Amino acid sequence: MTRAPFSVTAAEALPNAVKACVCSGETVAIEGFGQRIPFAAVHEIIRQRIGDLHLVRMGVDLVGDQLIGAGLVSALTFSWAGNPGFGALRRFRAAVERGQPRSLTLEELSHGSLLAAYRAGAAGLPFAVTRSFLDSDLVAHCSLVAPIACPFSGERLHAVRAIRPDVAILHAQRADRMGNVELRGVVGAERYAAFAASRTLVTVEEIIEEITPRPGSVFVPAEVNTTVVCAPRGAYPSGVDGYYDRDDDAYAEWDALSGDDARFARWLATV
Amino acid sequence: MAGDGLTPRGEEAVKRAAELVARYDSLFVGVGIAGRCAVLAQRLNPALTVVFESGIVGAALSAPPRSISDRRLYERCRYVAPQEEIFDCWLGGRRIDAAVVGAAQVDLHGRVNTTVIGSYAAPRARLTGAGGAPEVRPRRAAVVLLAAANGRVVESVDFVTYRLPDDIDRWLVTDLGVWHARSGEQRLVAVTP
Repeated sequence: MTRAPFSVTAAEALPNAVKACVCSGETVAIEGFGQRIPFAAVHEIIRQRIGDLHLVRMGVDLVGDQLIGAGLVSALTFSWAGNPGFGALRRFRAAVERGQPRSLTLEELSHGSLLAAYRAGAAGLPFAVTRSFLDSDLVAHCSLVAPIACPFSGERLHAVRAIRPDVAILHAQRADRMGNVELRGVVGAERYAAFAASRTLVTVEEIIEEITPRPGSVFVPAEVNTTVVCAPRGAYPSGVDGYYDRDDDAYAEWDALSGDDARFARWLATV
Repeated sequence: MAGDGLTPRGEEAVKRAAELVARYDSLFVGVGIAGRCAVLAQRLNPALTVVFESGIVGAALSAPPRSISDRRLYERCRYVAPQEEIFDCWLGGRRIDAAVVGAAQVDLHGRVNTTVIGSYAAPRARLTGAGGAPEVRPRRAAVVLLAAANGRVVESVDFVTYRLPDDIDRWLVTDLGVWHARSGEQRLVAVTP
């Protein structure tokens, strides 16, 4: 695994890092559940028009809506799609309901089963096992889910195919010069997405010489991080514990902006 | 924000749902209106352990959360678990007594739709999807809370996102009244005047 040299100024490093890590047509996992959402990296994908992506994301919120609205997503594996606290995602709905700007192939799971699929991918297993789809119509519409029987009891269960993205993209609090990344707050899929992926791009608030682990913090080790870029406020308008809080007004603003085709087009041209 | 602008009957529904879940020791709380219900429930039962799918265990709620990843939630809680602990251990392991969730559409067979109105392939309205709700299998009771029933309680849902377990108390609480079901038996227990 090759590791790109770290840079300390996002303005020059991030475009190159995104160009090196993310290719058109790839499966891209973007994680961060309500917090530490890698907005800066996603905006760079949009500026470079890296398209035909298969986006994997548990909670498809503003970053997903922006990529979908930009027409860069052709397939979506997800478990929820909304603007947290404000309701629907306008560009996602336009794509699914009207094929604008393009239609999406949906692979739809639940939060727990998608997280389990990342963990199976990280563990090198072919599938995860879940009870979440008993009597659910989702099974008939998702190629990642198949019924199985427990080999011991015969209980009816479902297998969820492991997810191994080409690239995982995360945002975290800190990294050291070796590429070890520390994150804290709400933690879930991001580290498993990183272990499951072929490459991982991490943006961080700061890069320091050496990290003294804080209680309750979680590490994504240097071994799985391909590129780490210092991008202060790179998760704005989502929050980063210890650095800044979510900007609720920006989430409200997205609700209004994304529902207006002309305003969205202007946003897209200037992102 | 979610839950704002409720009608007086909607407020009454939230209050009734809170009274139902406050009698338990632990409560899983969904997004939106469920957060508002949880605040009232914890006022009635300060010992209620409130759990969110974002990993928050034992939140001390003072106001409805802005989102389930709200910083105010994890700054005042017993601990923040990795999300897999919530899905695998608390929910999968059935360590939760009760749950309160919202929905777009429900029927009286315990089937909940948060996926599409119309057909899946060509929906009239695309909804947010499942989230963590299919993982929620509380030990004792599940409350689906609709502040405005408004045609959302139907004979048969357009799409079964998930089905609530049959062997627990299932409550459907709306601005019109309260419906209870368990193991094939069901009845209307209250009507909002």
